Amino acid sequence: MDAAIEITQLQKKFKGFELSVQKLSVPKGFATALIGENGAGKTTLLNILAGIRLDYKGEVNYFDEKENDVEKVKGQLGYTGSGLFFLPQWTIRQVGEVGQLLYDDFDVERFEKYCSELGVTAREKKSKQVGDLSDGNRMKLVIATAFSRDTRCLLMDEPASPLDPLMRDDLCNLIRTYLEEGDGEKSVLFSTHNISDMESVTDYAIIMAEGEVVEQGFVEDLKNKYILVKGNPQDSEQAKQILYTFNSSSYGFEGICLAGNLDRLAGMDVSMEIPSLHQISVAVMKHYATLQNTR
Amino acid sequence: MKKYMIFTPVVYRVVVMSLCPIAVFAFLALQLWGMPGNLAMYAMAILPLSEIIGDWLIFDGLYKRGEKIPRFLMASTKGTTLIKQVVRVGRLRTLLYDLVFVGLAAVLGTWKFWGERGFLYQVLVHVTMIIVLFSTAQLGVLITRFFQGYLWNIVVATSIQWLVSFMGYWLSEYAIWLLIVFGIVSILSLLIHEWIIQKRITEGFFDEGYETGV
Repeated sequence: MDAAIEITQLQKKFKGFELSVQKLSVPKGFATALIGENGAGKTTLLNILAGIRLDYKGEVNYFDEKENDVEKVKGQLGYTGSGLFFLPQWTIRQVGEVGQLLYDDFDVERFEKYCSELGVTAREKKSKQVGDLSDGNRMKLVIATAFSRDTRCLLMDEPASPLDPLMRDDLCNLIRTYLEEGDGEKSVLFSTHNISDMESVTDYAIIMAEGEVVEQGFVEDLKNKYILVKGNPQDSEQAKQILYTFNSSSYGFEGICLAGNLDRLAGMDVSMEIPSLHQISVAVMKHYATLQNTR
Repeated sequence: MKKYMIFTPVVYRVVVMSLCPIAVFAFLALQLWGMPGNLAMYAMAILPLSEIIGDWLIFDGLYKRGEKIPRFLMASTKGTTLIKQVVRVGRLRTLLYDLVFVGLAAVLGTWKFWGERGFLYQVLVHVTMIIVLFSTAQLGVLITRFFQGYLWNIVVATSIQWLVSFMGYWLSEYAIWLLIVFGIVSILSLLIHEWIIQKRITEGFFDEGYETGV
């Protein structure tokens, strides 16, 4: 697997939080979802990869070229994030003008096209200040700046969070089109704490918990590794010992089972389904939390 | 200059960069046409006042502790250089405005008194006046950038105007001392501007509470 980004022994400590990633590869040519609950370290990791946080130890290589100086590849990275992304007093027009100053490949016509298509300038005047935009429109503006350049990799921090369901669907289409146009050379890494809306565009998933990568793999491989199992109440106690995660009610039990343990369910009246990425992610995070609590 | 202009909103260009200098000339014209009172002096006070209040429109809270440089700038290799350049050009423009408009206002508004204390002394007074106005504007801008919201700018600008008024009384008597004091204030303000912007940019790339010994 060719990697867009490779991370080795990355560490960062601040305010009692520790990010520790021993080995991580973001595959080239695919959309990778960085999944984790709030505070898992997704934003910290993305900030490091985008070169806007330099307070870490470890190695980050970009584009299979063993280039580990983020300053040399910043021009090929597109970044979207929340928080103070633009000065609040900038107008929509100024954002485009500043974009031209910051990036040689910033296409202001493309920026205006995306602003229009995403509905930013359809409802708002170009003279409207960023600080007066809604969270959703501000994120659309951020997304428009990232797609207005010729980048090789997009790093998107929670791009879907402030968007409505229709816009999330549009965002998935934008990401898909970006990858198709890249013909295997462009990659996208986006973070989310709610994978449901972005599952359709996700090829590869990295699941984080408490600053560590606890699972990663292509979605199809993960769906072969984790199986959703449902069964009757009388088998609950026995199944509980076997399943990776377990939930029960008076109607029966449900949980994720590792594919390697399926034969241990022989003799039980269970049905098996392919889980969604959302279900896999929740199971992995729950399992990790349980392990941490028992330590 | 082009980069600086992109950072300036239309209202700033209209009010601070255009209307205020026009107002200075309007006061001057009234003075030259024989209106009583020292209108030229009032005219000069407009510039630092507008610079301090107007700075809120471009760099509101830029030097505030914990405030980071916008990520759009940080994610680009040119971002940090750009913001430093824009801040520097802003200071240079203030100095040019003071030199041109205040200088002109001072000369035209007081030319009839030039014979009283000699040409060189009048030049000294006018240079001092420009330095006083430039340094107080720089000082005011420096202070307000540590705070967010326009109210701080108004409070600081008003205080600075009071300070300038007092200096106006002493200008002709203590020109050389004011020149030295406010010359030092100018240089210190410029140096602190440079230091703070570099510090804030560097801090922007490091999380608060980062443990360097990881």
